[in-house]
Amino acid sequence: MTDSRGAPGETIQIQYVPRPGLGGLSIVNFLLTILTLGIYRFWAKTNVRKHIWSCIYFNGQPLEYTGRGLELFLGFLIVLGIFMLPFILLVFVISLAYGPEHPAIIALQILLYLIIAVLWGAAVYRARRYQLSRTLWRGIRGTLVGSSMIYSLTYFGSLLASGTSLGWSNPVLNTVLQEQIIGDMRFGNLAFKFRGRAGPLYPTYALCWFLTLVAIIAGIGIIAYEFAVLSGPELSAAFEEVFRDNPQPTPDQTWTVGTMIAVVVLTYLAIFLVIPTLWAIYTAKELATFASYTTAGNATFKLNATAGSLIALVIVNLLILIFTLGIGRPFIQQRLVRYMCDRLQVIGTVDVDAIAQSSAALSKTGEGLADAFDVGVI
Amino acid sequence: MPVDAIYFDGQVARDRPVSVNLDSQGLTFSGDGLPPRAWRMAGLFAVDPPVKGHTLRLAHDSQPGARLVVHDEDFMAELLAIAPHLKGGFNPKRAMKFSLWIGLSLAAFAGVMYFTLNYAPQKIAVLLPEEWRERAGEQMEKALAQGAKFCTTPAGDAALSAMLASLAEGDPDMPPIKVRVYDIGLMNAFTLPGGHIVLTRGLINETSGQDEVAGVLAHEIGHAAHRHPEAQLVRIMGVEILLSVATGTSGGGNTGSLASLAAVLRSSRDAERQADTYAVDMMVAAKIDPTGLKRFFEKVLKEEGKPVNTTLSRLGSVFSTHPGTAERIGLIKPAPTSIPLKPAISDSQWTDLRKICG
Repeated sequence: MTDSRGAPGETIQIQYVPRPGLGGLSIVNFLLTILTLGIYRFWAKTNVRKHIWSCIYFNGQPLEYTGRGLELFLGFLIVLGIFMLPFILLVFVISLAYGPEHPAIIALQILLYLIIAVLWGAAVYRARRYQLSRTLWRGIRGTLVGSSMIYSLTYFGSLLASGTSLGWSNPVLNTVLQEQIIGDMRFGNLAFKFRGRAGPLYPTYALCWFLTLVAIIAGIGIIAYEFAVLSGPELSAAFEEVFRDNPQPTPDQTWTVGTMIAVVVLTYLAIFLVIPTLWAIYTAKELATFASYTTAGNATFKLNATAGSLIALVIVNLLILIFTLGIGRPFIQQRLVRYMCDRLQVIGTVDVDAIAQSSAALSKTGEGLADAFDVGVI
Repeated sequence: MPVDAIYFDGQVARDRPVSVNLDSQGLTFSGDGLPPRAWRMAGLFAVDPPVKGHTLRLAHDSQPGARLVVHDEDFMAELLAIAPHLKGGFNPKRAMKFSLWIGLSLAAFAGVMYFTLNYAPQKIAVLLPEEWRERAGEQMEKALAQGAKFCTTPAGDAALSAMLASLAEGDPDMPPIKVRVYDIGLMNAFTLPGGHIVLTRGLINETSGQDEVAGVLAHEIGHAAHRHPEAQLVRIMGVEILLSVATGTSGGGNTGSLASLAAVLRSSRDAERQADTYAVDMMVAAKIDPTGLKRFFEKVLKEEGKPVNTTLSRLGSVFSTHPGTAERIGLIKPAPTSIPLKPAISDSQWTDLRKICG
């Protein structure tokens, strides 16, 4: 089986072949979304997916996105009708009847957040299932065959465990969640399998965890040191002088207060830049490890994800988002997909000719929950 | 001339080389071990808009998932000549459908806005239970007063009751009203849900006669009788619901805040006219001089030029729906001379009322 010449099937090459038109699409989508007060977003999302999917080639044949904007819109209406609207109406009736500070409203709001936390995983799972079922390659579509509720409960459990273990449960539970969703994944009748332990993730996790701790302690230390050096009655006098109604501080006082604020702000900013950057190390490790744990047919996967490339990807994406005022979001999605396509390798072979169409039923609507919760999906 | 193509049947991922024939009816193709198939022009579509020099991917409604991949420029040109609908782009039929959708959406939007802003609030306001209105009015009165002193003296209260009683002679169906005077310098009056009416010390002190205050009070009773504050409350909630639906967030009702109080107190021009009409009718029927309200408006018109900058003035009131005061003055006609007029309260009661805040 390990000898690819003996096994039936072919090797798989993944390629991203960009084609023009995404810029125009972005502008049209942006304008129509504004003109329709946001309702066009379902069609906009669909158009972008159609474009990006058609640029992804597996062995010379492109993917095809067959979803429709109307399906997403109906999914949104269903979630709105059976979930959001009754809740909103209930809150308004109670605040009308008993006043806006009635404890029942706070209780309802807590209940809503709880329901969202419990259903978050289902939203992720169902959105993934919808997208797979609308993805065609060589006329064959994908799907997820499992239960979104089991995934959702695992997801909720992992949130609770993460909170109580200060994050130390994340590698184990991320592995469990990935095992569930990959184990449920099918392309036609070709099953994906995920097998592997979370153990190898822990050294990297521990490194990032302790570096985060060090960064936080260092930040607090710098601020505390600054306060200690400048402490005393002069400091509070300087602050009082600068912040009173008609300030007339001495240059010394201005300098003291200025440095103080600068140090606090810079330290704060540094911590919030350093920590996500640190965690890119773990994210890269997790992505690569999970890819290597995944198999389909006689093939396994290899993802060349590195912390440096992930950081560059995210920073450039943020810059695109800021400088195009959000209009360039489709390009961000393209870059994310492209990153995966360029760095993912399929090792071994898949007997493509033997893959038969999936018999799973096609849902008529999609992604209602994911839209309502604003789950970050492409 | 048949051309070579690749066919995926939508059942298995295997690719099959086929040769395709084109005629005016549609496509026929067959290949090694594949019985001939026909795709008629109706139902035929291109997966991506055809681009010269690129691969053409065809599909047919009758065979979901099946794809015919052709890479032949002459074939593409010939096919597009027979079936221009494959080109995509501008298509009168699609453009019609699209405009129809946009038209329908705009109509639906207008309908929803009309229902939320104009139709539903007044209907729902009438249905609101007494206790709900009372509770909302009580809470909003507290928010409005902002801790200002509640003015009460036995003689002043008696004068206020007398004024209400003589106005009530003008409308036997007058709703239950709770009038309170607060120690607020600004000249203003407010009507809140549940028939709560707030008068300010400024209003009582700066008016020059009992009939002016009676006119203002009659106008406020008009708002209460038409349930304008309740309707406005429902309207604001409707708008908040629409906003949460559009943005997909769950808004919380924060009707206690000053910002939403301001919105509740803002009445439309129509509502003001209704209240004015009610006030004049009520005063004439109660044999009180309706030009009291007119004199008050003239005073407001003079005041409108002056800059005022307190929270309460920013709340806006029934009197400062600028412009329009002049127009409203014009609509108030004196009572017919055949009706013998009397003051709303006696002069001694008026003196008592003016001392209600000490």
